[in-house]
Amino acid sequence: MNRLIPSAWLRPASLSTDLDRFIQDFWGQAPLASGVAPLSEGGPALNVYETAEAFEVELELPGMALEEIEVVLEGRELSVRGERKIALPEAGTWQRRERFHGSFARTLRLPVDVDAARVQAQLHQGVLTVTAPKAESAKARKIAIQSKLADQPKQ
Amino acid sequence: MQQPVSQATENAVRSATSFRPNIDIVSAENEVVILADVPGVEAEAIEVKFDRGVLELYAKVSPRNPRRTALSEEYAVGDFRRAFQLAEEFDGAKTSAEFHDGVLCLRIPKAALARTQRVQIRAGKG
Repeated sequence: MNRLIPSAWLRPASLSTDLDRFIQDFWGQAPLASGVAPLSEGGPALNVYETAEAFEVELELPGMALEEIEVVLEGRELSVRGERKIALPEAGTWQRRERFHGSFARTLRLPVDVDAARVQAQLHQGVLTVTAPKAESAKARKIAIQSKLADQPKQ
Repeated sequence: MQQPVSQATENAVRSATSFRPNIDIVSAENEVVILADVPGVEAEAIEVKFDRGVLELYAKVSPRNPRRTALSEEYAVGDFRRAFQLAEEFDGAKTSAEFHDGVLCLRIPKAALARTQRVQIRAGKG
C-alpha cells in the first residue's frame, strides 16, 4: 500500500453508492412545495410533513442541546433559531471541515392556522421535531350528507 | 489511486442507497479524530469497521413515521455510510468510537512507531 503524504493522512474514500442527501445545496435555495413557503435561507435544511392533526417540522441539529435552540411562532410563521458551536477538540488542527457551524435562523409559513398553545418541540439524537397541531377551524371536516327526500313534506 | 477494498460485496448486502455524512477531521499529535454528523441514528445502529487500511462507518436509520405527507423536503432520510483510507502510520484496528446526540466521534491512534517520541535532555555537568 502506498504511503500517503502527511497532508492527506486521512482521505475520505468515495463509494459508488454515496449520494448527496441535500436535495438542494446546503446554504442554497430550497424547493417550494404546495402551501409551505420557507421564508429564510441559510441554515440547516428542514423538512415539513402534514398529518390529519398537525404539521411536523424536522431539522437536523446534531450535537445541539434544546437550550441552544429557539422556536418561535408568530401567526402562521414558525421560526427556528440557534447557534451551533463546534469547538476544536483538545490541541489539534482542523484537517477538514464539512459540518455546519454558526448562527442560523429558518422561518417557514404554514398553510393554515395552528394552535399556538399546543406547539411542542423535541430533540432526539440530533433531530429536532416541532409539532404544531392544526387549529380546530383549520381541520378537515367530514360533512354529513342528508338525503333531500327525508326533508320533503309528506304528501 | 487506492480503492476501498471489497466494495462490490459490501454493496450487495447493504441497502442500495446510503448517504454521505458531513464530517470534520482533526489531527493531533498522536491521533486523528473524525467527527461525523449522523442525526436520527441510535447508537446500536452504528457499525464501524476497519479492514485492510479502510475505516468504514455505516449507520442504519429507521424509517420515520410513514403516515404523513411531505409538504417540503430539503433533505432525504436514509442510512449513512462513509469510508476512509488510512495511512500506514495509523492503527485503524484501535479506533475508539463515541456517540452523542447524533454526532459520532472516532479516534484513530497513531501506531506506536509513528508516535512523536520526546527525548529527555539532561544538562551536562561542568
